[in-house]
Amino acid sequence: MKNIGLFAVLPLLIFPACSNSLDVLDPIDPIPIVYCQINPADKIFYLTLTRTFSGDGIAYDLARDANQVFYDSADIHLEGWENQYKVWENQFEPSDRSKYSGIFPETPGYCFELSNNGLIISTITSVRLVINLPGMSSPVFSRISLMPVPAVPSRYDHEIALYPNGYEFDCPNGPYLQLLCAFNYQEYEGAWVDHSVTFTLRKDIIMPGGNTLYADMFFNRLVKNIAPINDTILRKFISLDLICLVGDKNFKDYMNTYENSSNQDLPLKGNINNGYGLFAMITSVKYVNMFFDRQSFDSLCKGEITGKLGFVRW
Amino acid sequence: MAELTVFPAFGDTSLLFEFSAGGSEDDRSFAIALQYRWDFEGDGVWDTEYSGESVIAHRYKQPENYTVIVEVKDLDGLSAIAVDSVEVFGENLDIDTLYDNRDGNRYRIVKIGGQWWMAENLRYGMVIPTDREQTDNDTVELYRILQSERWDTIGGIYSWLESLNYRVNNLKGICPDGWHLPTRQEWEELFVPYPFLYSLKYYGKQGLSNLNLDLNNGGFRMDGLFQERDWGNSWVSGFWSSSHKMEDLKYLPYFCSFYSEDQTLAHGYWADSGLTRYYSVRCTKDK
Repeated sequence: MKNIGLFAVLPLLIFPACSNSLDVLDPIDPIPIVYCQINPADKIFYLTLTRTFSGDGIAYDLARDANQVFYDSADIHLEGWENQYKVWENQFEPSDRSKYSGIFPETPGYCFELSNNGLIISTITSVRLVINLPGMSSPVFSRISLMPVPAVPSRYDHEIALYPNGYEFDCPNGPYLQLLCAFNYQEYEGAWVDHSVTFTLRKDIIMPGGNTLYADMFFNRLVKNIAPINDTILRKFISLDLICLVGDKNFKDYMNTYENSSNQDLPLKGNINNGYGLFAMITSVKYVNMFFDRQSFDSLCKGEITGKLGFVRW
Repeated sequence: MAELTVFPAFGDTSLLFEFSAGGSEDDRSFAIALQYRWDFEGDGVWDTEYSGESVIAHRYKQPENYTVIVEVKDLDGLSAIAVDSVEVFGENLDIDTLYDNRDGNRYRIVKIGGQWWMAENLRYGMVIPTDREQTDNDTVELYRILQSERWDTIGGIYSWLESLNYRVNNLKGICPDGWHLPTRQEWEELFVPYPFLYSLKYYGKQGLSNLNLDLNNGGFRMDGLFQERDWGNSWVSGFWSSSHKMEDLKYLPYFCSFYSEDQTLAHGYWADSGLTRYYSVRCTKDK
């Protein structure tokens, strides 16, 4: 026993200064968090900029302290490159028009905005975001390739025939594809009142170029996104828009990480150098003012899946 | 195996140069475990400690050709090196505006090598129809190739004699007071600091530190035909000098022309022409 006791004490004698404690409140330099999606068809680009925080306090309280979450100033530039040549540059400015609510209403997130004055008309092949922040010796930056803006389909039949084999339409090619539906309808509440609901029909479409909208898939999605109805409310279908959202590889990687993270605290895969977040390009193609053919419309009103939604023929 | 890419490969001191060793591979470690350290000037002094940053950026303060070195280390401490280079030239900060009191036009001007140059093509004179010849009269006459919004950058095109106001030894030509049509020697002095004389690589799309020799501004008239910048599969622009040679008692003026086969890398050349060609005019300030 004596020997065992000696061996147990020996390390303490040899390494008297060792400590297994970790001071989690050691000051850590804040890390910028940047989110910006560029759609060349947009008139204004938006960007959000926050930062990680640490300090002596409760995270819940720190997160509501604007001084902890935001930078006092930021120099944010968007550069357009034609191969090796910088041919376009513009600066983001703080936006007065847009704030995103964030998690806590006390600290609404300020956006930065930039008017798109030329990104789409030139021969730009890539864009780079460069952010200089006070206290950081190296800039935050990210560069992405510019995807070609898909042509808006100029001629398409506005009628959707879901039967017998589904409705086929074209989405542009791209690493990430998401098909959205904006479903416009009216409810009778003493008078006919406009409503609209937007929902995802399909994500990460594997075969770009040709896509089929199947009746059961469409109506099941619709049921999940329109509130249940009582017998006294009537609904009228007005129109729907199909929206193909195309994202670049960065967007795809980010979404894949996000969607697979579940409740785990996995870091989202981003492409911001010297920071966290995402700088990506998205575009979209819209098929607007679509209507059902007779058979599809009958199915909406009286079909097994959507019959209880209260849509009436008119 | 260490791999290094640079972006861009050349540019001025205002630019942020981007270096990536993200393509490096190791047969013992995952890429995420690799460590990188950087020497931006190739002087043998590491500018960073080892870190996991495989992509990094740097802004150079002095114009020079720099060697960039990255050392990549794996978990076993084995390392490899990759080398690339960037060419950095000076940013031109001398930019001003020239007011032409003859017609109220304003031109962006830049100072290069101690000499002020117009960074826009001259657009002084009266626009005449393309089916009418420029002639020696009391009015400076010019052609407009395009009736578009790019007029301000394309300016007018003039015959060599018109650009000299029909007085061959009068260098002022049709330039504003205190300015003159550059000689061939002055054009060449402009390009002296740049080793590949007429490579657009050194001018950039905006053109030699804002001199704006962008081929987008091209256009000329030759043998009675008007050409915009597109000429066959190439882009072309040309600028008059006041210099000429004589052959068989005929004037053969020199012009500086740029052309590009793919609109990315342009080459220039000196040529002499007859008097039936029409090009752009840039003026330079009298010394």
